[in-house]
Amino acid sequence: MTFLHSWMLWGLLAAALPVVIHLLNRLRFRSVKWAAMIFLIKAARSSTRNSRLRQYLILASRTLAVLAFALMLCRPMSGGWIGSMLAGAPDTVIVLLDRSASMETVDPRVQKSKRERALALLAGVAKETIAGSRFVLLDSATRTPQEIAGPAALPALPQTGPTDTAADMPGLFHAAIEYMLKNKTGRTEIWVASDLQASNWMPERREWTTVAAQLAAMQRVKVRVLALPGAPGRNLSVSLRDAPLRRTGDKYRLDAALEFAQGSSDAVSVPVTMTLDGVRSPFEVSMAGPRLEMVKKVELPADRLAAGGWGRIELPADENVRDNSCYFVYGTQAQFKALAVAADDKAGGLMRLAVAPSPALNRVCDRLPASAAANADFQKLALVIWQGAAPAGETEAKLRRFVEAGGVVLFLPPAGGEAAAPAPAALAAWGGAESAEPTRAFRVALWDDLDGPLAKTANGKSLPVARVEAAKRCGFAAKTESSGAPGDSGWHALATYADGKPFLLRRMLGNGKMYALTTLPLREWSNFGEGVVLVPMVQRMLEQGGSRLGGAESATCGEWTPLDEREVWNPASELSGGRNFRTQAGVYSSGSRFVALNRPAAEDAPDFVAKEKLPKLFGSVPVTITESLAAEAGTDLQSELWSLFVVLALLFLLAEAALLLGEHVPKPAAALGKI
Amino acid sequence: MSTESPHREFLDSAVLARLSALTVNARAPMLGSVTGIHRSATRGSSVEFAEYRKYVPGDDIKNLDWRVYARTDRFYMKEFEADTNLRCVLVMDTSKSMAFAGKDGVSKLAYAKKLAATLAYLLVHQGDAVGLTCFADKAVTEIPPRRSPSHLRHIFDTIATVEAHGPSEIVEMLHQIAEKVRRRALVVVMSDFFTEVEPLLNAFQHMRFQKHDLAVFHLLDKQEINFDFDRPIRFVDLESHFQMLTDPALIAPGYREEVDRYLEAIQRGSREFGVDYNRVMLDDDYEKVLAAFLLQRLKKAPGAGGAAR
Repeated sequence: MTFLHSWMLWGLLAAALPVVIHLLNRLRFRSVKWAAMIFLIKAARSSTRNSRLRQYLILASRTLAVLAFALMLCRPMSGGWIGSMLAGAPDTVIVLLDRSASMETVDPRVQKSKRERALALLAGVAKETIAGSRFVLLDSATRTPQEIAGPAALPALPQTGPTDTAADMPGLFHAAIEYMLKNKTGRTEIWVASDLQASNWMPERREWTTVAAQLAAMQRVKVRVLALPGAPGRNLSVSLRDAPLRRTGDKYRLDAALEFAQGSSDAVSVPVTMTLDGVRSPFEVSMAGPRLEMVKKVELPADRLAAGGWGRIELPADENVRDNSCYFVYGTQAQFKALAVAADDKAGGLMRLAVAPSPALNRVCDRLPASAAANADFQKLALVIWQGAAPAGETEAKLRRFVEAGGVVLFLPPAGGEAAAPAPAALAAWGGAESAEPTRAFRVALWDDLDGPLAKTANGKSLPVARVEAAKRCGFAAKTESSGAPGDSGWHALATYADGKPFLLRRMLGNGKMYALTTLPLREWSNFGEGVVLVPMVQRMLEQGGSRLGGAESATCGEWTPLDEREVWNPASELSGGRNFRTQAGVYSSGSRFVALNRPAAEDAPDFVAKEKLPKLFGSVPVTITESLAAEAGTDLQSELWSLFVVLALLFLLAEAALLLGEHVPKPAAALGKI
Repeated sequence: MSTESPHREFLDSAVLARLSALTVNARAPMLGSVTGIHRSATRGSSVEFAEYRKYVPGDDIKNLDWRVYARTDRFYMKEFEADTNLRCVLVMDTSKSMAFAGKDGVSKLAYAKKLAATLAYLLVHQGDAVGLTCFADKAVTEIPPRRSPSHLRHIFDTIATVEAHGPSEIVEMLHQIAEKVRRRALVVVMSDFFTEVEPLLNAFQHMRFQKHDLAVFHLLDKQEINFDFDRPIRFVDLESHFQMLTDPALIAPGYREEVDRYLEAIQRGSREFGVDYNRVMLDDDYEKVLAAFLLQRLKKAPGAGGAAR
């Protein structure tokens, strides 16, 4: 049994009150000179034993009533038959399983990962008490509802195995709601097993409001969260930030930007193994703090580059084996081709410069007017820069397909700042232009420096985004809410001005991405045209869009899917990590093409949502949060038992009343009446 | 030169004056030494006709009814009732338990003194002899019945000085008094009677066997019956100083049952043995108690309408 308000266990001391009062009363005796001692002695002989027993029972009843009341205030919870019996079996139980990489953290005490512990705890519920409920599994990796016989079957299911993916918890709840609406699940309990990692739960996302409203509308829904938070104690992780291929003359070099992290600040020497095309070579890294960023330079002969290959960086086993490896690939590079479609000639020219077209750099940039954009060969493009009113008609449809196939589009506002009513399915829509006061330019205050085109450089330096000053900016009128469909997560601000309005937005669509910049690199608009931010931003977008075109591609596990579903992608080697590219990191190959899938970088972040904040996400929906230790003590999910203790307190009080009233006390008046 | 009488707070002249209108009657014929207001167990020379009986040689012929002889030619003696005085022994329990006082602060002994002194006054003033026996574990004071006013003063003095002391041996003392007092006396006992019921009733029976008219005043306090204490109390026995620490809540039911049983037994025994039993609460007005006592006896006196003889 566990308690939600465990600090109120101090209230149990109140149970001693009846005993203390009883003892104090006994101490506070007074002396009375008495004549009728003969009756006292007789009464003591005949009835004291029964009376004393009755008194002790009354005392015990009072003590137990106070005890039950105090326990009720502590909001006790219990699993097993007690908890289930009191809570009642629901019609449907939907198990939302977080299969993200962070769930593979092993607790050294039980030698089980969080996912395994969660599955074991859920399996513990598979007792006769909840027989009759329908169980549905929704895992974060596939997000496909699957009806199962019961939680006991969970550990054996392939859908509950470890993955190197991230978990989109709001999306998982959306999938659960969709299932509930479609299948009319009746009284439903949603059991969530998760480590509450902030990057998975994303409590700041507005989607939670929709989730809470939809769950509340269904009324008979309860959410139970089996929370297993906590970062691993002694754990080393390695992640690949970037692996650009450099060319010096005829030689090629791969600069693998690695980031090592550990749970402590101790100075340690980490043995690292690098596998390059199946050949292992050890090297050592010295860490003096919690993080270390380094670039591992790998020289590649030109002949090997043509064939392509892969590499793996590996750490010794520790508390989380999933974060001990990262993968990279290399191969022939395709030409990074960009298309600039600009209504404003000057802006178009600047954007073309940002692409840095050069045969040496393998970059090309074409310019086309908007009217001719539909004729472009989008399949060979890496990036489309679209300045002006959002495309429509055939061009818009082609552009959408281009993005879904993995391309990248950057939208820039019209130079005139004219607002246009967005079409319902428009890729982007601009609002009116807004000018800053002469002395108070719009400055970028917040931006995502971990991910996206404004992220830090490979050597850890931030882009000087804060130096960007905009005299004019354009409103962005497209919806920023998510539609909830997988792969279509709506527009999200990657960088915002000091007043909270967006500077740069991103929208994921299929395998590609769309960006929208709310100012122009023109002098009358901003100093963005100076290039210190613009050029690296555009270069990164170009590389993102072009990664699908070359012989080697790097992507995030769980987010990458083949452009052609008919393609067969197999592990590149026995040593190249996982077997299933949908859920496991590793290097996969299809013919001469390689893809390196790494776990999402956010999975290494040790930030967790505080369990006190969870109920806010669900609004008025009843949420029960079970902590990991308590759950392990109880062996299964638990129910609140306060109602039981209310009943117990009342029963004890009734027993006390019955004992008091049931006492046969001859009335003195009867004796007096016989005079 | 006469010595000054001690202060007699047990006497109330107003009460005495009001109760003087009533007489202390015996419920049975008495054997007195002089003529009085009570019916005698023997025939006498009063004006009240009693019965006829056949003449036996030796009878005084002055009581021969010549008219009956003239009509029937047979000798019949005409007999008349005799009136005699009453000998009353007031028996007062002066054991330490009689020092128990109720909420008003009036002890049982003080109450008994009022009863005894008032009765003594009334009896002497109606020409009856009054004696006083005070006892605890043995007789403390024994004053034989006399009817002179000086004797009454002696009784008052004794009552004024007597104090509650020592354990009670009431059963033994009642047996002794039953034997000591000459037959057919009014014995008035004032006590709390806190003893075993059966031996006590045996003593009552002994009294009745000696043809004494036994009246008892059972002095009790409401606290002794109600036992309405609310927190632990150390009870200290007045006579033996035996102590008992107990929680009244624990013991009250048993105590009340015992008291109930005791009172019922003592009342049933008194009825069985013809004892004039009067249960008195210390907060009762003693004048009312005595008035009720006297009036009840008046109804039961020999010669009164329907009175048993």
